[in-house]
Amino acid sequence: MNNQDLFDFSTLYKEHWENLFKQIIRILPDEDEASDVVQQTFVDLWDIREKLSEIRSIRSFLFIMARNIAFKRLKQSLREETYRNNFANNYSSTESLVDDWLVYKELSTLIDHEVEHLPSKMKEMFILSRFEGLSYAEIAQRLGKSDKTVKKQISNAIKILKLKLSAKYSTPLLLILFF
Amino acid sequence: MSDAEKFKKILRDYAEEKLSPSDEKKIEHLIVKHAAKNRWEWENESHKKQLEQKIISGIEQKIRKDKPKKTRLFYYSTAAAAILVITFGLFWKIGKTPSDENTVILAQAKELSSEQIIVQSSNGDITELASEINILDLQNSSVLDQPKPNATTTIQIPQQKQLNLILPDGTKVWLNAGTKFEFSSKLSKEDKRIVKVDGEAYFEVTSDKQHPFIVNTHHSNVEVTGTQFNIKSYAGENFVETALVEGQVSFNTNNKTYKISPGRKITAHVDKQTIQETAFDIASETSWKDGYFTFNQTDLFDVMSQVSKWYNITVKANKYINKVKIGGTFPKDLPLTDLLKDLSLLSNVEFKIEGKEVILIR
Repeated sequence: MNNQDLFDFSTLYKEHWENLFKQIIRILPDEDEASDVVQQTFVDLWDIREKLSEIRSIRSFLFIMARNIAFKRLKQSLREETYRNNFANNYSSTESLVDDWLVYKELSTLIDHEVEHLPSKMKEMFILSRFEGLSYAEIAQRLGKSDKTVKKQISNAIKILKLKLSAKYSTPLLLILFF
Repeated sequence: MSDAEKFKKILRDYAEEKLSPSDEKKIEHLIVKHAAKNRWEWENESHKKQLEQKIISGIEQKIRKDKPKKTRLFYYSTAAAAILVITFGLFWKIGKTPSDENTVILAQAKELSSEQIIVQSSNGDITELASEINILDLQNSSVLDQPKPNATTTIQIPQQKQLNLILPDGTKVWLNAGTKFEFSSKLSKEDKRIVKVDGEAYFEVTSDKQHPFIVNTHHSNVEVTGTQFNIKSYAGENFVETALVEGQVSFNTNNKTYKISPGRKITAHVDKQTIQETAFDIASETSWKDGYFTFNQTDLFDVMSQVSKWYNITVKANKYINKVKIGGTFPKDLPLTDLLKDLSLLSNVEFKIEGKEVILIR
């Protein structure tokens, strides 16, 4: 990204705002709140415009920023019981969400246990990837390894965990956790 | 409990910060995932145009508010974009230099006598541990010769080092950088097992009901029988903090006793004589002993206080920086410059390194 593009703020806005809005309204199901989040996202982007050249994908960066802002606000609103009830009552697929959650809780206890036993570098990469949500590239950068090594190590980690856990649990359940 | 009730319970735990960071990520992921089944669409084209305009004017207003120059930002031509670069480029430069009276010191570097871990006995022996040692087992090894009666041993941890210590009674202690730790050679034989901490330490105390374990700090003491907890109390700071992971502890300060239950932490401010009890995130509080900084919406100033202790640097900040929160996990063996680069990207605050000083600029 060169300097000219960097400051072509309005082009960025035109290109991304709609997609962002449609993603955010799934989190905050209210037009005003969602547009407020999109607005804040671009204001924040403006504030850090000097660093945009360090960002690999502006699209996912914008999405992550917007998502963080949205969840911060959602969390704040959910403290009120009325909002919580409204949110839960209007949510379209409560049942499948709760199902996924319960399976996740049960399995994560087991996974945590197995993750502890992974070789240390592999464990570190796996944790950064799955629990901290970093990309392979970000992990590679942070640990000073190549993208390829990170990818390989994480896929090995998943293989090991699957093998250990599939003895006790069916594969479809494990998919919920890993993918 | 119906699914709806369960969902409300999860949402409540989420809102009240009762979930671990990974649970929190998971529920956020699930909320998006399952909501995605409901497609959202514009009512018509003008609905969309209206909203697009509304958001634009909001952005313009907000950006203009904190810049003195009144410029319309959303020109849709390249020529105008070029002008913008120049205008804001100039302002950006001017805005960068902080003046001295606006600078506050957040954390002060310490004078350290050695770059190695030092073990000092009250009979005068001083041992410098080799730099690769990070576990010291006093139960099985004779690292410290034959302890003399009534001798105390002091261990000092320099910057960017930490030590996992196994005491003669089997209690495990992790000592963070910049920490001084003191214990008696007769630890396992006396009525009370007493140790002293200046800095930060994590304990896994071997259970022994007959011999309570007591941690003394400058401002408090903590008494336990067998339990896991983190304690933070630096001589130069006016507070002491105890976070309990497992078991039960009594926290004594100013002649008052407080019982803490697992998952809670207690902070005593010595000057104000106030006590605060809150929930805490285990990862953020204890991952230092596993070699990580973990921040979970942690205030930038607190983040920098931890960074300052680990790298032994003085941190100054422009006093107008506040309310910046940081989340994420960072390995502690990174060079300071790398860590600051990450923090800068996350916080939109710039870090300037000048010798042993780091200055935060917004």
